[in-house]
Amino acid sequence: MNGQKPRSKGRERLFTVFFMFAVTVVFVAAVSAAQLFARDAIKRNESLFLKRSVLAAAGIAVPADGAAVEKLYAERVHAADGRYYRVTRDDGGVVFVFTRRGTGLWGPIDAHVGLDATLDRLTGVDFFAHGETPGLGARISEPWFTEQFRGRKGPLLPQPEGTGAADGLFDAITGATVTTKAAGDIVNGVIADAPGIVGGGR
Amino acid sequence: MNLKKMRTVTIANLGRENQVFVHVLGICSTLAVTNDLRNTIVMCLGLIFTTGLSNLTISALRSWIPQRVRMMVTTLIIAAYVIIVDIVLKATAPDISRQLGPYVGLIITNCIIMGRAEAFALTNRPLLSLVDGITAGIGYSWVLMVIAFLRELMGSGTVWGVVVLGDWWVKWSIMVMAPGAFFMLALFVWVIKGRFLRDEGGAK
Repeated sequence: MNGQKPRSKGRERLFTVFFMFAVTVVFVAAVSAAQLFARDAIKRNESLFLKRSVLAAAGIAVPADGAAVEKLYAERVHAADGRYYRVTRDDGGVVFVFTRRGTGLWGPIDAHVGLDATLDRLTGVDFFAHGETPGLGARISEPWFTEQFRGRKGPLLPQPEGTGAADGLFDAITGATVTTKAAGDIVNGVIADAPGIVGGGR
Repeated sequence: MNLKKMRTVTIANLGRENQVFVHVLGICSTLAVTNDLRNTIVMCLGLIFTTGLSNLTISALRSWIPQRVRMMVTTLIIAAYVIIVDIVLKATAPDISRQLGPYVGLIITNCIIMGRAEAFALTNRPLLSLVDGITAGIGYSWVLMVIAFLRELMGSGTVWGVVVLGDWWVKWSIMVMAPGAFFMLALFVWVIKGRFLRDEGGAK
């Protein structure tokens, strides 16, 4: 059917192989071209996203413009030994930003956690990669949740939503108990391990 | 004559032949991405783009595609378009791409695209196939948007991320979780079939 002329069996097979080969070459070439064109933009987006996250965790106001973020990051942030960042604050003080992975409901949660020089007061938390339920656990990346950690003294215990506004406490997310626990474990884990990691670097 | 056909195809795809609530195709993504209106719309745009272009391409190649490998060819073409959508999203809308996660790649396995390619594009002219693909995508999209609107409203009290129901609204958390999707889809199909497609349903 489809208007194909009758061919001998051998020729038909050969044509099938040839056709498959040609179609594959054409479409793989198209996909590769798209990838080549977008590669730099994708890389830039990813690195910019991480830089924004580090700055936010350090408690520095993040500019909306990409170039301004790059500039600010270059001035303020120094990656120390790969396990944490040393960030200079607006007032000249030092902040340590740690990368930590916790276990969420559906998969790992990656976060940047910032501590000031005392190593138990938080300057900010940013959950930059997670696969939590949209509308429930995914609310850990919303400002109302992350902003509450700023300036708070840890370690922290989760409280019912709306009642955790004090040192040593934080608001849990209603309907996302596992995610809340994971977020708390990440923050408290950083506070527990920070002195060992930073050590004399303070 | 061609215009008339296009209109027939369009009306069928939006209503009586709708891919979601009549053919019950593409249910996986209907359940997965409809808890947030913004994600749903991006998903729908990706799907409309892919069904339209894959139908067009397959229809244009239809007299050369050997019968016995037609599924392989179709899948290859669909996959190429979906990967392009994924790359474009990553480069231009990284936030949305991050939120949708693996679902963009999963457009490849959306039964609607394969269904339209097999049932329509392999036997119809390219332009008509393009229209069929796009309208099948739109038919899918309007259903998803209605479901997403209701789920987001009831589950989070928001529309498009903006709070519309105040503090007095007790959020139905189950609506944004997986079971909520099943309830909402079932109710939707029930209402549509019982109210609007009644005559036809009984006759079968």
